[in-house]
Amino acid sequence: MSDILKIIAFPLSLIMMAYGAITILGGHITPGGGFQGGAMMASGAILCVITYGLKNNPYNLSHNRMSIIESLGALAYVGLGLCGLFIGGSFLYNLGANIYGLVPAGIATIFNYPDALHAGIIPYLNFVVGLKVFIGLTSIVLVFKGITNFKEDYVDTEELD
Amino acid sequence: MIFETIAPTLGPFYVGPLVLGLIIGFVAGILMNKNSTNIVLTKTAWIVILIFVVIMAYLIGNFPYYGGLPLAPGFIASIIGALIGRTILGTKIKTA
Repeated sequence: MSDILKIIAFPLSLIMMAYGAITILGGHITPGGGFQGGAMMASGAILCVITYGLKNNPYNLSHNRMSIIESLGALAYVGLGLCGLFIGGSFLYNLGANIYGLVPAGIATIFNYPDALHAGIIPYLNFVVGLKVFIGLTSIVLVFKGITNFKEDYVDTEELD
Repeated sequence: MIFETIAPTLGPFYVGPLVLGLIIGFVAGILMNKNSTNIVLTKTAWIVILIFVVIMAYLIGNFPYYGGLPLAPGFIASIIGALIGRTILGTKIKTA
């Protein structure tokens, strides 16, 4: 890639990630949410992968770190759902909003997202989904990028015939 | 008083977007390398990036929370979180 792209790609990816972050944060009141924001964050990492390649990338997209973050996202989603099940009686019950008044006020305060709308656990669900989508989409592109290193080994049997 | 001059519609200053934005940025930051041979950003470059980020946050406005500062708090918090995560848990590449 050109030098201009190499200079601008990393700062631009930071800004793309921050924009994805506010899309995740506004998911409960504006268009957006975990998937959309996570995809925007992934596009920041993908920009760096395409520009800089897999080696000497400003991002350390190692298997361990990515699997830890993705697993945390999935486990937190299940954890929030189980909290709703055990405390409120149904899976993913919104403990923070507590519309049906099934949980004590103290627990509702703990799970309530501190903003003007009192959306309960919805912003937290957006957050964990965003983490999972961010890592998932990035890993798909990483695999594609890695496979292109072996494209010369590929032999089309139909072409040979 | 100074905030009221800047933002006449100043309301409660909510913690939610600040904290979650910081965590999201931190998670993105721990995926970064501290040094890369492909791009070297000096302190001046970082300052320029931060100024650009503040201008961009101002132009975005107080999205998506109504009342408060005229900046997007989650936007700035996530950038700060990314820098903190990169500094604390970022990987240092071994150069030959």
